[in-house]
Amino acid sequence: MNVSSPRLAPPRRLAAASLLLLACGLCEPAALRAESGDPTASGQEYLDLGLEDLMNLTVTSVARKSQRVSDAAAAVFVITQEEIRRSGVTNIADALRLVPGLDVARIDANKWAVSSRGANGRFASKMLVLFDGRTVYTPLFSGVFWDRQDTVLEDIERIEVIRGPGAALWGANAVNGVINIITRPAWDSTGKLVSAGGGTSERGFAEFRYGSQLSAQSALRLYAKYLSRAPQDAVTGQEANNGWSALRGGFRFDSEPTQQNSFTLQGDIYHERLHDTYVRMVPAPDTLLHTTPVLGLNVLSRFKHSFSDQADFELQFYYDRTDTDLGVIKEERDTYDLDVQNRIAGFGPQEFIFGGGFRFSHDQLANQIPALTLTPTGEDTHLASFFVQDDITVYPDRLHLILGTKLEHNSYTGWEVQPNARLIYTPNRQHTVWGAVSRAIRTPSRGEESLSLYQPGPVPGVLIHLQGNDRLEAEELLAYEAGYRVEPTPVLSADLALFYNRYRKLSVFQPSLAPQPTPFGPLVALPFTLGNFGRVETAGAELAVDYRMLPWWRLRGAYSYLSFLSAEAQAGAQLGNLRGSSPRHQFSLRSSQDLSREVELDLWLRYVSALSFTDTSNGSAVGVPEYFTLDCRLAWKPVSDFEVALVGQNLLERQHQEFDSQELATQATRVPRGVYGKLTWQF
Amino acid sequence: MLKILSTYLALAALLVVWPVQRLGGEPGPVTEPQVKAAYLYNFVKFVEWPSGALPGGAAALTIALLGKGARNAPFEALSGRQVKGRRVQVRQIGRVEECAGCQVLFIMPSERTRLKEILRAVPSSGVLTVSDIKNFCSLGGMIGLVTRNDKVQFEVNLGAAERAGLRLSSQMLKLSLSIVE
Repeated sequence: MNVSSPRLAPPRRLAAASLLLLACGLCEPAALRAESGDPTASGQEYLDLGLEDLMNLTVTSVARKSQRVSDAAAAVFVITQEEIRRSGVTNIADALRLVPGLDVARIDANKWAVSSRGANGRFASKMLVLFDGRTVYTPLFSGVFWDRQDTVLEDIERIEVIRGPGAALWGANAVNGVINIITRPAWDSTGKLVSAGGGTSERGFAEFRYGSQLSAQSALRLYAKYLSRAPQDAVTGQEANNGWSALRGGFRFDSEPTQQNSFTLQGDIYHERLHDTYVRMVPAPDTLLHTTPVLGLNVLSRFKHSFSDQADFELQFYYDRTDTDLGVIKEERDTYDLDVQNRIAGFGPQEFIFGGGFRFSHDQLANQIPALTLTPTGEDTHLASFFVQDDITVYPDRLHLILGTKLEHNSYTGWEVQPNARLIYTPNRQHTVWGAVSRAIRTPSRGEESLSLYQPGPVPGVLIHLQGNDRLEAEELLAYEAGYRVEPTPVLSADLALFYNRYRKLSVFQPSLAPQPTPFGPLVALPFTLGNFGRVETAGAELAVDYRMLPWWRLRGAYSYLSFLSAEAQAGAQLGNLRGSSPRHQFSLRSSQDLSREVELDLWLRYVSALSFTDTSNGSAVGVPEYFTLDCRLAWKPVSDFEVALVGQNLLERQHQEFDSQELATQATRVPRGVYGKLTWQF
Repeated sequence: MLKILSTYLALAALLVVWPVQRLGGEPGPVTEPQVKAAYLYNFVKFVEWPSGALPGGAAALTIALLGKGARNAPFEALSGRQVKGRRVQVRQIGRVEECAGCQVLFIMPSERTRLKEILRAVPSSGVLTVSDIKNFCSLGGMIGLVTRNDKVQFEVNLGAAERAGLRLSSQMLKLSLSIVE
């Protein structure tokens, strides 16, 4: 090998630079360590830390610790603000790739598929997503429009993700997981923030936030954000139509007039223009180009009162409106939601949480193409739910038994019961073992009830007619989970979760071979009708390791495995893409280095194994190959208020495909390599 | 690009194995109140009181904790430590008036709603006010503890400290998150 080859130069330089930094870094902690104080005071070593050591120390807050003991009898992962910032992601869906075991695939520039433990898709129906307590799961097709979920990323405090059925507290359809996006209270984001940047995929973005302490008891935050993203090329290599732009603004007001009462009022308004390319349309032409306008607004208020340390009460109300023209259907939707929650501790070793909620949703649809219709065009739906959970301390600080159930009444399937039992054992600070058995259900969506969608069929002249079913029952899951967390040293921790899921009554299409007439002249169609015929068993494991190797260098690894033990459909129905839409293996390794007080370097390597889709029309297989990808972020903070960041995304290949959307098919695209720069000024 | 990656990973692997030995001496997991108590101890080291504000001879330096909470225990651990040749004494007080004769007043978040009155009632000279109440410095306090990204940092209101005759060391100012005048 020719050593003087220019191609080799960069790696050698990088290695040399890293070694130099390494040498500096190793000297640093010793130099900064404060001199030792009173040696007799054992267990108080923290008091001897110097100012610089203290500033670099990551703390576990008391609140979080208590949450760890009582609530974490589940596969929980929390994305912190710091992780979001250092990952270089520009949107919430991509930030979710930080969660071990969560499967995030970008379908095109403005569409994502996000799920855990199987059944991914643009309309991944088994994940509950909450944004500051507001459900963002759309009842139209069931699933989440990820483009609409955004804010100033710097104002997100954390994103909590539970893989597996949510504990009884959570809302409807928390079957495979719960994603809870939580923004900072207004008093934690005072001051001005201006940030702007741009690059290849991120054509340009700008955001502004102003936060102000109005009085000792209250604070207000206002924000505005604009972004424009470039389209991704189609898998065929052609330029495609899927770019988009979005403008949004909002506010959050927090007040704590007395120690016992707190009040939050927040709201957002946004407007987007999404370019979409629908494919496999009938009748000809096959492709439909459309610019989708989305207008949304929401207002939420929350009131909390604590009677004592032992009891509190929370009341939340929100209104959410979305108005969109998808090109294939128009939807206007108004949702009103009221939730109440009570916590009472002090019944000996027990702590009760109970509450309930009522959601009312009204939609007005307009069918735009004969190939896709939903009926009736206006519908009111409701969801009433009640929950109770009892956290029983079997042995103080060691063993907790958590029993809970949820009782729900919905417009489609009536009453549903979802109980769960969890046990958590913490023999000492280093080890946690937990297990859970839960039943969860997913209720049918508006689309599944009354869908009529014509797609190309196996031979010319014959279409497939996908039909909803108003007698669908809820999908059922019985989940067995177990987990183990270990923290052998203060700098190393590992979290392992295992699951076995048994799904019954999954809604899948049952084909018929008797052709029927269609509204398209001579064409005939084979009716495919939804029914509760799918039976699937999955099992898997998710492992996360966090290693703070040096005070200035942290490594985080994750591996997840998903296996379909069995997947069958009764009565001749087809499983569709339940099985092939989620990867068997996922792997991720992140490195976060503080090269100096001013410079941060982050590297993020990911691997996702191959997917295999079935083309609904002719049953042929459509594969999405496995991929490796690498993101890199270099940030320089010359003064404490100002930061310059350079981010490279998907650096290993020019472009790679991550998904193939089969439901309401849009053109398959490839995610390109991208670079952007960002300036952030906080003052 | 794979070359860079492999070099980097090899280096990372080397480091993963090596420093395990060094970890024994690192402090155990530390809670937020503990870190705040340690900060308070450091502040006492880095602040100079006006002559007259300190009691005569080698009498104890007193830290008053205003407001109650389960979080007070780590602060009370400061009692008996030595700083500037004096013993530290920690006193729990219920009303701000009781802080007379103290050198440091730490205000617990439970007092947030009464903060303005408390700051008005603090003796005008010789008492360092510290708190983790949000925006403590903007509201007239001297040193505010701020938790950001799971790390505790501090901001300083230099004007308020100077008006009370206190001098904060330049080393401390350099490390502060921001300085409110």
